[in-house]
Amino acid sequence: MPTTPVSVITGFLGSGKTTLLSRLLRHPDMARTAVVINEFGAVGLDHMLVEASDENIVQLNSGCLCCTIRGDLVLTLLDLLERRRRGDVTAFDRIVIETTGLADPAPILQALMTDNALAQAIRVEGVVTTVDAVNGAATLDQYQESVKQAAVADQIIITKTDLVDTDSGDIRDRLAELNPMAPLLQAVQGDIAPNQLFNAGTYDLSAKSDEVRAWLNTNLPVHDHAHDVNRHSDGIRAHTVIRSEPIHAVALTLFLEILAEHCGADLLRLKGLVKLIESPDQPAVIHGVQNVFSPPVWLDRWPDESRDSKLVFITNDLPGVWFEDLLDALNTEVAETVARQENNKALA
Amino acid sequence: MSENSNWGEQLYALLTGALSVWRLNGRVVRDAEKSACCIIQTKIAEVAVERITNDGDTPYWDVALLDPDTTVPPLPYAGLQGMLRAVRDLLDQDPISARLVIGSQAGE
Repeated sequence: MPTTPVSVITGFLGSGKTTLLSRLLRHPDMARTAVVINEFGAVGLDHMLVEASDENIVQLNSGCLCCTIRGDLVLTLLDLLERRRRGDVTAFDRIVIETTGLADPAPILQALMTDNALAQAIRVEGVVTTVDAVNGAATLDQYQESVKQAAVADQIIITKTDLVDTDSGDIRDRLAELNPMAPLLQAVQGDIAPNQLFNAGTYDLSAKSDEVRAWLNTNLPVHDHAHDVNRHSDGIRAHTVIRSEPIHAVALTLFLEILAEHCGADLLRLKGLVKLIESPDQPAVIHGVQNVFSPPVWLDRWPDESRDSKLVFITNDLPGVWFEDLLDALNTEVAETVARQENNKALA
Repeated sequence: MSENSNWGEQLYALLTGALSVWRLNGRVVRDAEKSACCIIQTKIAEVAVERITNDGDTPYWDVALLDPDTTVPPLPYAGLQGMLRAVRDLLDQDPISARLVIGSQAGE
């Protein structure tokens, strides 16, 4: 059975998250969407209710389902999926989760990525974060939650741009520095086409080449050596490693294990395409949130002419050059081991 | 450049960065006499890490606590992963450690 895509909408208090969601729920393209929220009242759905299925699920006249979280998100989602299976609720093709304004999206993503029962039924499509053009900069200065929401986003929506005199270039520059991976979109009064947010296929790693490129979204030129784009913003750093030489699969595995063990929660996101010695024509797609990684996926081919490995790290104040040094050292160690074994075989 | 010289440079860079990742104050110095040996100096301890390549066929890492009162000899580690963990355990009295989780975990 095909998996149901799940997107997460997050954003600080007052950033326009709920306005965005309310507007989206009225869009015809959002029919067959189940929205999971903390409380109905906050989204102002009263005039849209058609029928209350029970105390925590309502059907909207747009065809959407709206479900409140019953304590535990994973259990809520499993319950919703089971109700769909039994036919107790209108069928839906997608799920959108709205977090609270103070949420750290990383544990939410990790829960979605690691629950065994959910893994059979869903695929995580991505994180959409709203940032307010009026107060966003001050919010980023004051609240680390806001910084993290932007840092782990797959897409960032700048809201309330109609309320600022400038072209919101400053907040755009700051967000681009904080998270070079996330495209910056704009929405006034929540007005944005749903397919800009929810059909990006951001986590559908078997997607087409242009979607894979968009997912990685580094816009970096190709180099034969590591390209240091270490940036500093609010303690968050972005770093990209590019390698033209292929990497041993064992070295990559050890690399991820060491990152998880030693960087832990400070490694906010890692995305990458990796050229492996064992399969140089089929790049491995790597995606992780802190110490939790999706199982690697191998593409049938490279998405474009570049055959370089690209790994993009977003971290909480970690030295980006260390990732390069670690990867190179591991690859050297594994290469030496392999060479020694082959030499021993030849002598035997 | 000999293999050990290369390792000396790589080891120095790796351990210097590791101190920053672990949020420890200290410094790394290269051993003047051994090309593939570095000494990490922090307030907690001094630790020597050396790549041993001439003791049998398989190279390994020696990790030694530089404490005149210690009776623990240098301990060998086959790979960088074990070496880094051992160094951290000697330098950081309260390390925060996580483990790699890949995909869905049954029963968790």
